[in-house]
Amino acid sequence: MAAARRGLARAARARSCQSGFVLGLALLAGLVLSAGSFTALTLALASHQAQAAEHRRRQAEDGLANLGQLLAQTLVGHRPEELNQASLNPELLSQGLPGGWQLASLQWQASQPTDLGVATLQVTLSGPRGEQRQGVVTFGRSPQDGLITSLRQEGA
Amino acid sequence: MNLVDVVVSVLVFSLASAGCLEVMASLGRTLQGTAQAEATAERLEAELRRSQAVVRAGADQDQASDLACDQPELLLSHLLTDGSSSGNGASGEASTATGSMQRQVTVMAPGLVRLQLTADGGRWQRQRLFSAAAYGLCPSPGGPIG
Repeated sequence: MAAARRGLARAARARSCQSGFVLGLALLAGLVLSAGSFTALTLALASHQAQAAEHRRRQAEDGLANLGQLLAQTLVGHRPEELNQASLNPELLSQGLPGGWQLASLQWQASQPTDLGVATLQVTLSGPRGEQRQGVVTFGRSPQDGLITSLRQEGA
Repeated sequence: MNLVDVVVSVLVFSLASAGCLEVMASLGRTLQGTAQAEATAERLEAELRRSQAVVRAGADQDQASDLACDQPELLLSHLLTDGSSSGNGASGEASTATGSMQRQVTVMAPGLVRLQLTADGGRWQRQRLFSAAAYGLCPSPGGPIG
């Protein structure tokens, strides 16, 4: 009788261990799957953010190139000193720059005495998220009268 | 092993599996969308570069022509639309569509033209201005343009 009771108790313990094992295994598998899902979500988010950043970079490039074209239209035939931000047509400027981007500053860089035929303008654009993008626009310049004659490099 | 344990185990595993499958399917769609978007961005970039090269070559060829001096914006517009415009030149706007990409050329001001490229229904957009002065159209006599 006592032996039978001991046998029943052993069987009950074994069943209990088995059910705990199955539940633990299911929880562990669930945890692993959830971790995998989280990693996948992080990957998707990073991919999406990288894509958006690349698109913003390309748009900023467009803005710098367009600014170079507008500056060429304004400056060719004039002296560098005549440039100020107000001399750029605001409507054309807003249409030339991508949405949310604005012209932050324009600054001539000092010419090298050996290269008086070049005038270099540093331009800064500010983006919708507070980011800034700088570029350099290079113009050809007549050494005789100092007039801007051509656009050599647009906002690289 | 009682019934409650089995049911809870199966439920936990099923929920986790379903959630994971859903997320993986979503990741697949996202990665596919990213690849398509990258291809579209590259296509727009290539088209912009091609247009710039066409305008540069055309401007070099017709630099001092009557059209370059009288109406440089028309010359630029013509070069950009490449003679396949479906728009009206007189209105200063022309647009063409190739596949999912739309190309619009607009005269913004005398001597200034804008090329706008859009793809995927406007989701992707690039634009470039082309000014006659930048491409050295109708140089003044004696001016060392170039």
